[in-house]
Amino acid sequence: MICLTYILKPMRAAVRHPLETVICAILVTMTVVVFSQVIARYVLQQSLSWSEELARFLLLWLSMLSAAYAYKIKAHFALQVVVSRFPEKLRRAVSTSIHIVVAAFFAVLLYYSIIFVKGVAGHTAPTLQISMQIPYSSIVVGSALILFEAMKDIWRCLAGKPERAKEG
Amino acid sequence: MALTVGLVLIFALLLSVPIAVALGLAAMAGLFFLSPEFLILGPQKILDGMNSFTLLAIPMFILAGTIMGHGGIARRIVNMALVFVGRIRGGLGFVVILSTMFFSGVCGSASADTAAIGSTTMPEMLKRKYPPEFATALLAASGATASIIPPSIDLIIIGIVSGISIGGLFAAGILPGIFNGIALMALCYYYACKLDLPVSDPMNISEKLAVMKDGVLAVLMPVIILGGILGGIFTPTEASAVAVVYGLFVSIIIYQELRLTDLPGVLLQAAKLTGIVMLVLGMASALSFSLAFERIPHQIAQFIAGYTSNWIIFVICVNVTFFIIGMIMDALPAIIILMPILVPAGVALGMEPIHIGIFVAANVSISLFTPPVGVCLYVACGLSKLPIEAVFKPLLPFLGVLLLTLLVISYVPQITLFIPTLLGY
Repeated sequence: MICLTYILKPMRAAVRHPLETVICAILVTMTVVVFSQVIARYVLQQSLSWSEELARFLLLWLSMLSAAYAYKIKAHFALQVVVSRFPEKLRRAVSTSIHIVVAAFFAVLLYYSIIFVKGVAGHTAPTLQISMQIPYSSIVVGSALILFEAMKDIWRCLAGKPERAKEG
Repeated sequence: MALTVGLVLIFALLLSVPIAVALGLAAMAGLFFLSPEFLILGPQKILDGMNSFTLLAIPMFILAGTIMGHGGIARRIVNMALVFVGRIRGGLGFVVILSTMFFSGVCGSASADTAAIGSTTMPEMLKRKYPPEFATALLAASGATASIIPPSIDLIIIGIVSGISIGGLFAAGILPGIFNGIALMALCYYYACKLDLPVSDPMNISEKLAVMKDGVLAVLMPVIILGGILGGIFTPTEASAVAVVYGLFVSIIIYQELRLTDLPGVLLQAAKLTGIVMLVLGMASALSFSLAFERIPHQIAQFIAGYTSNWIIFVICVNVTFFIIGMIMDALPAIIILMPILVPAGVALGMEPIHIGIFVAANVSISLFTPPVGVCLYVACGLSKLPIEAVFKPLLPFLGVLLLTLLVISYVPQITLFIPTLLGY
């Protein structure tokens, strides 16, 4: 029973929801890294050299992936004051065109992110000695995920399916 | 170029493009105008805006707040408050104000604060026949204004974008936060007498002691966090990690109200808010870069300095600007773009940077509950199941009182600067 609750179920959930699983893992790792920085300084009397940089790189990944997650569940804030007064038909048209605008924006951002990440190929991080491509790829993955979600939204609108419920 | 960027931003916002994307569009338009080759700087500036050790405090303070809301810590803070103010007329209203203030001492986000305290106090207030409109307005206003009490996401962002010490801002936020709380309590007492609200049931000494023993670990939390930061034991970022670990320890092992299987849900809830805030932050810093390249903030600062020869008028201008922006949206993106302009302009007029940071934060806290758009108002209405329109009128007295305290905080810098000066910031 314990095996089922703590090993099998989480594993199945992890396979079904890879994005959510990675986000949780990063959030936990980040807390552990920063907390161990405090422990190291006061208990081991020795400051860690790598924790600050590692935590920042984790934050970049967390931010971009959580942004994609928030987009997926429609949690990003938007002003509804004006649009909510539009007649139903116009509102649908506006909402379709917003999905197109979002998709176009993240397509452009994805394009330039790829160029940017290619450009930092030779750079390494000062303390961790890893390629700067590793933290900076977060924006490529994040933009690609949001682009993918926005394209799904466009397809839904054009196919005349109902809008997904807004959350949060 | 400034005109194009402004038009793109306003047009996109009004058509309900998500705020982060609207800021990103304006930033890319600005870069494109400078030179199409500059577009490559977009991703770099977005990443730069998020790549800071201090910013790590944001996801972790959000996470700490979510854990403590789910793990029974919020409920114990409410019970403790009930012991101290429950016997006053309208005691539950006092409980709401006091607990949002205390919970804000561990939680960085005003909406998490409102949700955590509101989910325990709102059903109780409705059961005791508090008018639902009044209860909702009270919760929205106290949750929003408690956001100046450190630790606070708004203060962290203000500190980062304008280069003010976060510790100093945290120290400075305490007294204005308490001042707002006292003002709200006075208003609450007036309504309690007018509406003849009930007092809570009396408790005997042993019951009181039991509640206090149960709640001591919950109330100790703000002391550890703020004491640690202000005493120089750890940085705000480290404090946020300590808060998460302490919150997990207390709610899983001592109170046993959070199970390990609840954890993914709690983590994702924190990640959702993190994603929203961080994307806005990244996009706004890219926009800020493209504006700064054309020296636009500098020109606006000079314009302001040219028109206002003293800080009294400057403060009024800033307050009015933020109030208007705050009605149509939560003022977070506005701080990121405007703070780098306002601080040098204010300093040139002889103001302290920390004071500017705090009165802008007080403005932002008001923007969190001013209709039509205010996240704390939404949370409170969600809990009481009222439409937002029903709360507009009951909100007015709260708004009036808080605008009054805002003026006092703006014009009496001593309230803000007393503790930071004492601590040597």
